[in-house]
Amino acid sequence: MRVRSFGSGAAMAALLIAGAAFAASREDNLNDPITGQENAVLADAPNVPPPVQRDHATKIVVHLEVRELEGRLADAVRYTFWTFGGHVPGKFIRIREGDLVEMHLDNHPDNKMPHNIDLHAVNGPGGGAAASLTAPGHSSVFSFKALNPGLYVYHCATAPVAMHIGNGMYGMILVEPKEGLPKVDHEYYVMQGDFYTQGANGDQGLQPFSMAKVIDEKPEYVVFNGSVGSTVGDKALTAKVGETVRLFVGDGGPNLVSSFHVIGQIFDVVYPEGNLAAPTRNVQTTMIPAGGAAIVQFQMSVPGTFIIVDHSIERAFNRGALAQLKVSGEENKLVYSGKTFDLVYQPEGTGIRVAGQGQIVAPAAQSKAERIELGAGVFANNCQACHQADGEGVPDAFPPLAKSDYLNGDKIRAIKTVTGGLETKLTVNGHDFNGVMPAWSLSDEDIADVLTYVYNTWGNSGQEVTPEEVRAYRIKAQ
Amino acid sequence: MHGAVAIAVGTLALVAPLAVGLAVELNSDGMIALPAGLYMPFLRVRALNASNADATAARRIDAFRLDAEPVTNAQFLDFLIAHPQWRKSRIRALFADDRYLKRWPSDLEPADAGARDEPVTNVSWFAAEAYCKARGLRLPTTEQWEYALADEGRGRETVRARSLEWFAEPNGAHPPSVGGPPNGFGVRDMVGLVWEWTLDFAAYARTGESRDSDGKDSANFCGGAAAGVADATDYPAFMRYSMRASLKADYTADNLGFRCAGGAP
Amino acid sequence: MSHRLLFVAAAAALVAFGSGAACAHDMQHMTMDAPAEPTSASLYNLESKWTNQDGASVPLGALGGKPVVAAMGYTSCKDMCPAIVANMMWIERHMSEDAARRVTFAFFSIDSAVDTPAKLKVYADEHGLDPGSWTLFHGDDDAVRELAAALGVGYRPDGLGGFDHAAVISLIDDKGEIVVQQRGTQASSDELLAALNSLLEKRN
Ligand code: HEC
Ligand SMILES: [Cu+2]
Repeated sequence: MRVRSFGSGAAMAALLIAGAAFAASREDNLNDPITGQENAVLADAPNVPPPVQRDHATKIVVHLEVRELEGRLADAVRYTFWTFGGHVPGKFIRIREGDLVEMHLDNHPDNKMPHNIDLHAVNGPGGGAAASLTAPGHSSVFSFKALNPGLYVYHCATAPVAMHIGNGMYGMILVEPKEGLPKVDHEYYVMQGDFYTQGANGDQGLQPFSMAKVIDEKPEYVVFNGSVGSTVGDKALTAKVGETVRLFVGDGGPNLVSSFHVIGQIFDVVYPEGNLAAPTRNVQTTMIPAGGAAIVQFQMSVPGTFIIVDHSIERAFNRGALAQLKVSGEENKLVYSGKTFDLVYQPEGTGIRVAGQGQIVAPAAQSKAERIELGAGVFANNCQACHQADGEGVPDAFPPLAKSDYLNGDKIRAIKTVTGGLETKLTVNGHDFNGVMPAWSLSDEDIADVLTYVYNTWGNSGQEVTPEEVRAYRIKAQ
Repeated sequence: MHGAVAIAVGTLALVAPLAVGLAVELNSDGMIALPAGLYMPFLRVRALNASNADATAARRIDAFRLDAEPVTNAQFLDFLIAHPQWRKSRIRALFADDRYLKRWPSDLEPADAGARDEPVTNVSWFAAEAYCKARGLRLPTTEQWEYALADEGRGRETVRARSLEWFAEPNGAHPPSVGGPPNGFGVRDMVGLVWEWTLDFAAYARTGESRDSDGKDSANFCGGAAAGVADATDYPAFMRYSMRASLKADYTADNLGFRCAGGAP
Repeated sequence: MSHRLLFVAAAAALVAFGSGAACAHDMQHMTMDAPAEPTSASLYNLESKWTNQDGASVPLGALGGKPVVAAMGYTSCKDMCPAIVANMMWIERHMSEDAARRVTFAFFSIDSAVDTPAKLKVYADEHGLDPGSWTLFHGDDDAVRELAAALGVGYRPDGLGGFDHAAVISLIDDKGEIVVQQRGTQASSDELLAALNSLLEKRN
């Protein structure tokens, strides 16, 4: 582990609060002379460009290339994204207050649509949008001086705006104060967005954009960094016990406001709304408006997997707004005993998850092999968010399915768990769990498929579960 | 039949068709005769000293002819044979950017045999106008084009749905060939193949930025103000106007073609 | 905008002299410098025909050989056009008398129906536009549409007999290529003036 200059959360918080006098005045920044010129270093989420080391203002040349690309929105769900730089969210831009930014918006010739850019860091009509409407195969250039430090969203503002944003056209720009930000061990970029597909959540294939749903503000997906599961498993954010983490969090919308929360981790410092002048301390959940941002900082005290959610919780568990921060290092039983955990989300009893209407009926499996194959899809869409792609679950939260004694010991009990849900205490492979497994309103066919898949993966017992068995169990249970 | 049905079906609807007994006529020149009619503009443009009522009034469109389909590579080739100054090796920089006829390997060679029936793309406004003029025609005005698309309110949902689908399909190496199903007027392929130039595309230059609430950007534009739109939920219409607003007359793009219009038969 | 209108009169007074002599001088320039074949990006590739305020027919290419400060508008426009013209006059006023004579200030009407050459002449006189450096042009619909397309000037009838149009002043070099454009009447003309002066210096 790296040796760090400030060891305790309190010390860090004190330092950050001391920085409250951040920010030169607008006048200072306007008059700050420009020396030299640089090309901006840009980064794709969850990465952030390195801190600005300069002690003077300069001219920064930023090239953002707009690409319209088909990509993954969720497992087996494809979507045509409109992007600033090839990914959702768009490239992270990092500059210093007083800098003069020369913005190039390059609309790739393969694109179909006109686009522009509105940076919330700009003082000027349309935030640059009025100066940057660009046809496919062309570029627009404008410049602005960064007068106010802070973390700002940028987005496309071409009519119809909700469609451009809804397809992923947003990103963030950090205008650092002259003093810079206090040093931390890790900086990450996390941006939430809502997506409106014609098919219901989980419907496979290339999904067209739904005009009706965006107007109703009823998204099918709410995700961090552009897709369901963008930041979990081996793509999770990482840190070590004792290290400090800073998240630059934005909400692109187009419609939803985020209740941003990291399960099991208190934010030592939050710069609400990306405002560097007035940090607050000891925050549990911070509200991020659509088209707004916040910076949150905290020190890791114990190891584990910390789940990042929109605490408007249905979105986290049913629409995709879930990411992970994996922390390694020594346990500290004083900070956290490890016997209870912070993950009971069931305001109104065991939630029943209703599969979307109008779903295309999947063909029934004709053999065990087909059942396993179809089951993999059911698992990815319904189970993976909690039990993980590798079936290992999340310690203290979601039990493993891989080599689970609970699962392999009793097939009927497994069927009962998936059809009826489970919220009693149980022990899997010697570890206690006391969470909530939602009841699933999946068809008999789907439950048979997913359980057969689970039984035939990760070294499990290899049994088959048939729809008849599921039906028989249901009749008996009534 | 549509005389009564078409009334007030929404944004692009014909409010009161003047022509009764519309005949779908495909003339030998591949053009459709469209009847005169009233048309509800999507963009409500209010002149400086006019009332809001003026802006929301239906507009009368005179009878005119319109190409049934976008101009194809084969048709454009004939034009280039007769008018060498518009070939890609000869075109003046004033009239087209560097991607003019990008898919054509050489002056008189559309990409390949299959490309003959595809809409010609990567043509500038100047080249499109020159082509139409050579046929004794013009580009359609934006209102004529939108009137043909509105189709007396028929197929409104289909147009919107097909547009959204097309927006989500990435550009292929080639656009699809012409020959889609006709709308009620008999006009084909207005959405789903290419964007199309209009004669007065530049008249809508301010509409790319739809958030300007009072619409009056007095420093840049004289006289008029967009007093809103007829239907703020019509995303494809916003997109068409944004696209037009983003263009300049020498621009070319991989998915931008055109068709021609003429006076009443 | 109103303060600009005020100095229209003042500017007119300033530029009024020197016009007679400039005329002959101009003609000389035209014949001497006009290139035979326009360059690829030259506006003079447009074949449109125009008529000046004196009723003489002028091809666009005849403007070649001198820098041109050009704008489009129409005489009955009460809103933007007076400001456009005032901006052009501001530019003229901020040049040396000698320099101003080596530039053409061109105003192209977009109102083909109403702005006859005679009407343009009255407008020029009313605004005190020096006939030595100013030319006002009338063209048919096609000529207007083509030039507007080449200059990037959006316009449309406003339904009340006038037009909505973009306020654009273009600086065109002696070959007919656009050097710089000023969009909007509130923008400062300093940049355009500086570009014009450096064009003239290069020609010296
Ligand atoms: C919202 C998170 C969540 C989702 C999604 C979820 N589970 Fe669970 N699952 C749990 C929790 C929590 C438990 C333990 C319940 C308890 O402690 O009472 C559990 C327990 C189980 C068990 C028994 C324990 C074991 O490890 O063997 C099985 C089997 C199981 N889940 C299967 C599934 C299947 C199949 C799906 C998809 C159809 C699924 N789960 C989706 C949270 C979830
Ligand atoms: Cu966009």
